[in-house]
Amino acid sequence: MKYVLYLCRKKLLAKENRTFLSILSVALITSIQIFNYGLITSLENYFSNSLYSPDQSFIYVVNGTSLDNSSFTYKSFIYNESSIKAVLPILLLQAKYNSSNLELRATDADFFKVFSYAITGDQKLGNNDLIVGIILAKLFNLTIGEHITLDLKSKKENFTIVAFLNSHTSFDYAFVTSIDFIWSLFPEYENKVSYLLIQPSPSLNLTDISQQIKSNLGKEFNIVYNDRNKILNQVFQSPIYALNLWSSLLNVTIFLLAFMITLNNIRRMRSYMALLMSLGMRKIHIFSSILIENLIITSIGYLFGLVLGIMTSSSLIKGISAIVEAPLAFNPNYFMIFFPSSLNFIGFLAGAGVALLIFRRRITVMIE
Amino acid sequence: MRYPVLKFLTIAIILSLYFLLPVFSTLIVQDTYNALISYISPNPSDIIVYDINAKTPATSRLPLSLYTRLISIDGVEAVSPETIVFTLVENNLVIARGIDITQFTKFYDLKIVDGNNLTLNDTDSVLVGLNLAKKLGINIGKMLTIAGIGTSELLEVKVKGIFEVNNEYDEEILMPLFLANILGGLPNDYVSYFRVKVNSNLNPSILYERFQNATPTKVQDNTLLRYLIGANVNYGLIKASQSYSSMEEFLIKQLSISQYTIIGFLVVIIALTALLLRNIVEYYLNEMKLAKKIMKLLGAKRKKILNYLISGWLIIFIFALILSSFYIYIAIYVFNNFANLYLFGHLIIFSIPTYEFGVLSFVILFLSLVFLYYDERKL
Repeated sequence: MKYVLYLCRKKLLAKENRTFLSILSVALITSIQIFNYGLITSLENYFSNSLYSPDQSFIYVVNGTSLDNSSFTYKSFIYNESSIKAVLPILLLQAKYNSSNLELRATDADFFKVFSYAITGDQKLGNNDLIVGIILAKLFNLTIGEHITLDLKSKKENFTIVAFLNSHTSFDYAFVTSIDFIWSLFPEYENKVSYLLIQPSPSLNLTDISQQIKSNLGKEFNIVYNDRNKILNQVFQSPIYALNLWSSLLNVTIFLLAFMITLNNIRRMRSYMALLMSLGMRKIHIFSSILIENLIITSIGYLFGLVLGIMTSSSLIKGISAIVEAPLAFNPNYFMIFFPSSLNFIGFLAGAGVALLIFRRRITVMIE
Repeated sequence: MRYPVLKFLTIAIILSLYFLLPVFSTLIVQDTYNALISYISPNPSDIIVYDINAKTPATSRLPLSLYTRLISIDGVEAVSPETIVFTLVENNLVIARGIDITQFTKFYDLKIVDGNNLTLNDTDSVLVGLNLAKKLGINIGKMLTIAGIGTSELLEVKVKGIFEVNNEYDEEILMPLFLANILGGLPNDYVSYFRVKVNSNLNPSILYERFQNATPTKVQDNTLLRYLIGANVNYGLIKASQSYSSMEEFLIKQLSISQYTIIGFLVVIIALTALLLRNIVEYYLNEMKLAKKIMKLLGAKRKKILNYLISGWLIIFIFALILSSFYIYIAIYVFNNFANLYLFGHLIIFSIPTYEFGVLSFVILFLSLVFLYYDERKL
């Protein structure tokens, strides 16, 4: 072991060995990997912060997994006002007006709790009262106070337009009427709703809301909402895939680097190794010393690369942040720092090992 | 003297593997860049009119009433107001394009593959691009739940038709302007930008000049925008540019990415891997050491030996180039057919980066010859 370490030290310090350049290469490739993952993470954080706040979302309660074909019998819903501001039962019906198929949404008086800010006209939903979304009002040139006839399931029903709704939501292209009126008009729909629309309180707690729904309605009910985590996942899925692929190529490069460095270093130092063999050193000791030498190079390079990567990434991302005028910040995490770069460590050792394995006979002949 | 073919083959394989990193780096960066600049319009001759203060045409906001001035300009053949929204449909990132179907069809011949086209009175119906419909298994009549990105809005819409235009739009959803505005959080009488078709005498700067003095024309046709146009706002801060250049300008100005940045990026990659290249050259010279000694013994001069070594290296280099082209071809085939990398809902189509590959090969060849010349004297 003493001889192995001696040979290793001699080789590492020899000018011909180009130890410094090897360490530098490992360090630079490692630091590039850290920078890449750092940039993606900072973009992800920036994007995440620029998305809407979750408490602005409406939450839909459906019996099943989607809004499509959801229909159930509605019982009163007792909710905790600390997490839910309003619950609107919504029954969807197709209405025909002017030979166009349009959407009629029947709901109760809580509608005004949620949309009072967007209503022009009377805030009432009595029998035959109709609130018209602003898009429909424009498309069909409707006016407040006008009487219109809607064809509901082949039944002609007269309505009076009491207000317009300009809410920048999907209600803007629908007719809204009283759910009690629709239930009385169509006995087969009595107490039926398509879904519940929940307006959460600012201190949104999805688990709490979910529990309230399950205890009030049953286990088959689910919530559907605009989930920002799903969005983030989708936006960054392909860039992360491409980055991982690119990172693997850096690992291949480092493998090749170790492979070539090992072979060339053996050639350069062969006379020295031959001398040691003639003094009684065994072949296994020489091969072990080469592996230890590579372990030392890659360890120093890896550590140096980690420090360099963290230091440069932080300042480079600040620079990018200034150029794109977006508040990007380097937030390192353990996965980003250790996982991709540790593959460099393995790649370098594997490169040296494979070189020794493939060319073992030639190396022996060369030294002998 | 004959060259050692087997040894050359080994070196060529190593050299071709060395090519992988810079070539694939270019491939990923270049094609992502191309996918970005074709975002606004697949047709480079379209002029895009957008808000001068917007960082990108996709995030611009313009009042719909500008249509009345744009359409009145002499030389303007068609104007299509559009709103671009990034959405999530069945957990997939999809671009929803708000359009007035009567105007949009003046630019693109929408072939309805299944179902029906949109009409003025369709309030909750959408058209789905053929590629997207195939990818998500969407059929006519299906109710889609679309979530807006950047707003908390969630819409349920009906699929009325499946269309094909044979460009990037086949991966998108086309919907009435107001639906896209709801998803994107825009007022009803605003749009992202206007796509303008002009005759050959008009370019973006002339269009911009004429726009300043244009007199608004009242919309007479029975179109969606006739109903959506609100107050005629006097809005002067517009910008007109070719569709490709508008996106390129954004990339250069905001993200400082250009063709030169990509080449610079490549140079950095080559510099980083220069030690590997030098080791490959050194390995080659070591393999040729015996041949060099024999030539010297036979009285060959350094110039002749150098010529012999360079010729050998060129053979290896050409073989490595062929091998790496083969890898690229396979990789592109796998990327395009199996990997399906998307950039904000658009599939990135990979193609061989011919120009960059040429520059790259030249730089690597030059660098390797410098190493060869320098190391040959030492060995």
